[in-house]
Amino acid sequence: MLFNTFSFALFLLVTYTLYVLVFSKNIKARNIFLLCASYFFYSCWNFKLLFVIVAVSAADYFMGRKIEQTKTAAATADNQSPAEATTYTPTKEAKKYLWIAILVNLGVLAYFKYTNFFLESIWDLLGLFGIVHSPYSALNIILPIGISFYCFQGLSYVIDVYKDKIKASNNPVTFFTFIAFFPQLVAGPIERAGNLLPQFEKAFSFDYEEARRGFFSIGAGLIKKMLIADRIAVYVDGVFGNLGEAGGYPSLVALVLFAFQLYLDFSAYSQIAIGTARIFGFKLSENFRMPYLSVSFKDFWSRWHITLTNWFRDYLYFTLGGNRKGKYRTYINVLIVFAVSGLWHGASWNFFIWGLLNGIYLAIFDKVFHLDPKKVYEKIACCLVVFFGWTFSLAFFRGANLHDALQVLGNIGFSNADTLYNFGLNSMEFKFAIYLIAGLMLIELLLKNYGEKVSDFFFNKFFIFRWAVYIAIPIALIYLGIYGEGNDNTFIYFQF
Amino acid sequence: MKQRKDNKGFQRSANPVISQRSQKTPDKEVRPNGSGSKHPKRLFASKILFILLVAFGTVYYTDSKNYFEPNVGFHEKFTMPSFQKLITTDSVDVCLFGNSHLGNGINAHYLSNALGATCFTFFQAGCDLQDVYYLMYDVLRQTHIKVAVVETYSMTNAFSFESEKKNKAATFKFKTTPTKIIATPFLFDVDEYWAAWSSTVRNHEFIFKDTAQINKNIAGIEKYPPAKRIYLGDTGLNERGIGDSLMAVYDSLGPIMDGELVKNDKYDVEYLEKITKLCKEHNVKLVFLSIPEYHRNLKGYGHWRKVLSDLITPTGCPWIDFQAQYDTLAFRKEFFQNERRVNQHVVYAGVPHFSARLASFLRDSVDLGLPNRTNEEGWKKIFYGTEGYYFYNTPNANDTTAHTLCDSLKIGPVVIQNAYWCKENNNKGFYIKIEKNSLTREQANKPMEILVEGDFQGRAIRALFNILPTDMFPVRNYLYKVSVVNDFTPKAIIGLKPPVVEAKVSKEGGN
Repeated sequence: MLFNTFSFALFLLVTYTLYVLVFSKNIKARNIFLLCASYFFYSCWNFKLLFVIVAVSAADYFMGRKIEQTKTAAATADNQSPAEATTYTPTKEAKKYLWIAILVNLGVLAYFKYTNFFLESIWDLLGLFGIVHSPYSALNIILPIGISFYCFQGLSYVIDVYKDKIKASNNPVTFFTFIAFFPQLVAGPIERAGNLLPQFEKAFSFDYEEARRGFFSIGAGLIKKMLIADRIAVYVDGVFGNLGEAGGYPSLVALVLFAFQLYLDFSAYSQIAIGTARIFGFKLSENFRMPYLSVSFKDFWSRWHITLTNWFRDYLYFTLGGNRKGKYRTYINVLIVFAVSGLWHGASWNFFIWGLLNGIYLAIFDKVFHLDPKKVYEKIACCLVVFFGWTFSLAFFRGANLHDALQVLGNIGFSNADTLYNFGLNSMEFKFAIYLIAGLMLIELLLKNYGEKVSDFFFNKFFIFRWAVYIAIPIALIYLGIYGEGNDNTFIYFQF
Repeated sequence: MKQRKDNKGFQRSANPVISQRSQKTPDKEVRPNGSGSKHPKRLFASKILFILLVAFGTVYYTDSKNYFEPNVGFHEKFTMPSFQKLITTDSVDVCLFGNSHLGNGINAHYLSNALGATCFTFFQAGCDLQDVYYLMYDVLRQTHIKVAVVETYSMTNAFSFESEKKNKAATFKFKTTPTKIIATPFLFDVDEYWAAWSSTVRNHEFIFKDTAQINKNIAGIEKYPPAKRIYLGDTGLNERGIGDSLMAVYDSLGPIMDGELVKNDKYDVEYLEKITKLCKEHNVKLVFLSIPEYHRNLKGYGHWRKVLSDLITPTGCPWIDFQAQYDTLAFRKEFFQNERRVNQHVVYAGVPHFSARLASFLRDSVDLGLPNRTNEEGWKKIFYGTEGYYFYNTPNANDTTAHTLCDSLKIGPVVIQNAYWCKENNNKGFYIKIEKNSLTREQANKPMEILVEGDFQGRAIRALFNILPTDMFPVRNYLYKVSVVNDFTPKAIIGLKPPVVEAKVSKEGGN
C-alpha cells in the first residue's frame, strides 16, 4: 500500500477515525490497534513476508530483554539497584546476546538482500579465471519491503540497550509497534528507540494544531511526490531506458533531473511519514533539511537522509574509531562507512561505487577545495560544486548496472537538444515540472532563511491564502498528479 | 456601589458576582486561529470534510460535463443510443455481432438494402464471444430480432479470454449497481475504484497530453445525431485497398497470419452454448459468418476452419465462410487493407460485395423467414437513398436523384425490374436491374445489347450499348451499369438483346 494511492487514503481515514474516537483513551488498546493496523498495512504488500518482520522484532525484543537482565544481575551482584548503578560495563553474556541480535538482523538482511549479489560476484570472479562459463541464474528470493530500515531500527535498539543508553522495553506490544509503526515502516526515518519508544507509552490527546500541521505535511509531501517527482521520473526513466538513443543533452538533463527526483521522492515520503505520525500524536525525526542548499559535502550529509547518516555515524563510524585514530585512518573510516552505506542502498557494485564516491567527496573534496564559504557568491559556487558532484555520483545510483552508469556519463554533452521532448514528457509538461522545481527551491530558500516565521504566518495569519492552499492541494493532486495505469508510482527508497 | 445597565436595560454590578459554575470552570485554552473551540475534533473533521467535498465536487462537475472523456469514436458513442432510438419506431430483423472485421467488412445499410429488411451491426474492436453473448443478451432484452449473425473472428480470437479477470468482468455486466461496484476492478481493469468510476481521474493526464480533446469536450461538439440518417452501427474504417503503391515500396505483403496457431478454449465452447441457448429462448435464428483475410496474408486456414467447424457444427446453425469460398472475394487485393500487417481487414471497396453476398446467403440459401420490407413506408424512410438502395430497390417516381426510365418492363424473356439513371456523384450512371430468374447464370455473365432512346445536346437520338453486369453480387436482381457520356440523358429503353448461350454438346454428339 503506497502513500500515494487511494487505498492508503482510505486506510488512513479509517485508521485515524478509529484511533481518535475509539482507541485513544487506553494506551494498551491504542498500541494493539496501531500494531494491527501496521501489520495490516504491511501485509497488503505481502502477507507471507510479515513473518520476517515479526521474527526480527521478536529476536530484538528478547535479546534486549536478555541484555537488560544481565545488567540487573550485574547490579545485584554489586548490591546496587540498576537505577543506582553509575557505571556500566557490559558483561560477556550481554555481548553474546548483542552478537546474536547483530547476526539475526544482518543475517536476515544478508539473506534477503545480498545472497544473489554475493553469489553473482563469486560467480563472475570464477568466470574471470575460467572456472565457470555459464551466466549466473539468480535465486528467486523476494526482497521484503523496508527490510533495511526495520533491521537497522531493531539493531540500533539492541545496541543502545547494550550500551545502556536506554532500558530494554518490557512490553512486547509496544516494542513490536515501535518496529512496525506503519508511517515509517517501509522507508524510514530510521528511528532510535530513545526517541520513539517512550512515545508509545504516553497517552494520546487530540491536538488540533498537530493534526492540522500533520495533514498539511501529508498534502505537501504528496504534491512533491505526485506532481514533481513522478513527473520527472517519466522523463528520467525514458532516457535511462533508451540510453542508446539519448544524446548528450537529454542525458545531462535526465541526470540533473534525477537528482531532484531522488530528493523529492524520498523527502516526500519522509514528509508524509512524519505528517502521518504527527496526526497520531508521534514525533518522528527529521530526515531532510534542504540538502541542495548545502555548501560543503559535510554540510550535505548533515542534511541528506539524516537518520541513516546518524545511524552509520553512531554505530559504524564511531565503532571504527571515528576521527580519533589519526588523519589517514579517519579517511579510511569515512570511505568504509560510505561504501557500506552504498551497499545498504542496494546490492550491486553500482551502489558500492556511489557510496565510495561520496566518501571520497567528504574525505577529500571538502579539504582540497576548501569548501567553507563565507560570502554569498562563494556559497552559491560551493552549492553548485556540491550539487554537481552529487549529481555525478547519481549516475551510479540510477544506472541499472555499471555499463549503464558509464554510458550515461559518456553520453553527457550538449548534442541532440532537439530530442529533449522525445522521452515521455512533452514541452508543456516538461516546463511545468521545471517551474515546480524552481518554485519548490524558492520555498526552501525562504524556509531556510525565515523558517518558523513563514510557517507561523501561514498557519495563523494568512487565512484566505491558507484555505486556497488547503483546497488546491487535493484538486492539484487529482488533476495534475501522476498516477493511474501505466505509471510506476512506487517510492524509490522502497527498493532498499 | 456604582450601578450600570447593559444593553438590554438590566442593571449590572461594576463588580459582578462570579457564579459558582464560572468559578469551577477554568478559562478555555486560547488556541490560535479559532482552534480553541469546544469541539476541536468535530471542527477539524468538518474542515477536512469541507475540503474533500470541494475537491470531489469539482471532480463530479468535470465528470458530469464529460470534460475528460476520451475520443472513443463515433461508433462506440452512438451505436446503442441509435439502436434504442430505432427500436422505438421500427423493427430490427437482423443483428450482427462481432469485432473489427465485422465492422469493416459489412455495412448494415448495404445489407439492409440488398436484403429488404432492417439490419443493425454491433461490433467492438477486439471483442470475443463473451462480449458477443452479453451484447446479444442486452439487445434481446430490449427487443425481438429474427436473425442474429455472429462473426467468427470473435471466436478463437488470439487475444480473447486471456485472463480470468475478463471472464469475471463479463459476468457482472448489465447487473445492478452493487454488483457493478463489486466488479469495478474487473470491469474497468483497474485497481483503483475511483479511477474506474470517474473519467476525470482516469484521464486526468489529458491536461498535458490531450488538451485538444478537453477543448473539444468543453465545446461540446459531436453531439448525437450528427447526420440526418439513422446510424446502424456500420462504418468503413479503411478507405484504400492493397494497391501497387504498397507493393512498390515493399517486396512482400508483410507478415502472414498463421491459421495453424488458432485454437479454441473452454470459454469459446461455454459461451457458444450460452449464445445458442439464448437465441433459442428468444426464437432467434443464429447464423455464423466468417469475414476473410486477403488469401496471401493467411496460411493454414484448413486448421483454423476445422477449429471453427468443431465449434459451429454441433450448434446446427448455418455458416457462411467467405475465407473458404475460393471464388473471388478473398482473392481481390483491392478489398483489403493497404498495410503490411497480420490480421487484415476489409476496406470500403469490399463492403458492398461482402454485404451483398451475405444478403444473398440470408435471403436465398437458408430459410430464415425474413420479411421483405421494401414496400413499407417506415423502412423506406430509413433506407431510401442510402448506400446500396438504388442497386437493389426501386426509386420513387418523383425522385430527383434517380430518374426512373421503366418499371417491370418485359422485353422477350428478360424482365427489367427497374432502370434509372442517376446524377448523384457517388452513384452517377445509368443502371438496369434485371430480375434474377429471367436470365441464366451463363447469360448474366455475358455482354448484352441494349437500345436506348435519349437526348444528346438537345437532339433526340437512339444509342446502342454493349453492357455487362456489375460485379455486385445479385441478390434479387442482376445489376448492370451503363457508362454514358455526360451530355447524354437516357429517356427510355426500347430494345434489349439477351446474350445467346450456346448449348453444350457432348463429345458423343448427344444433347
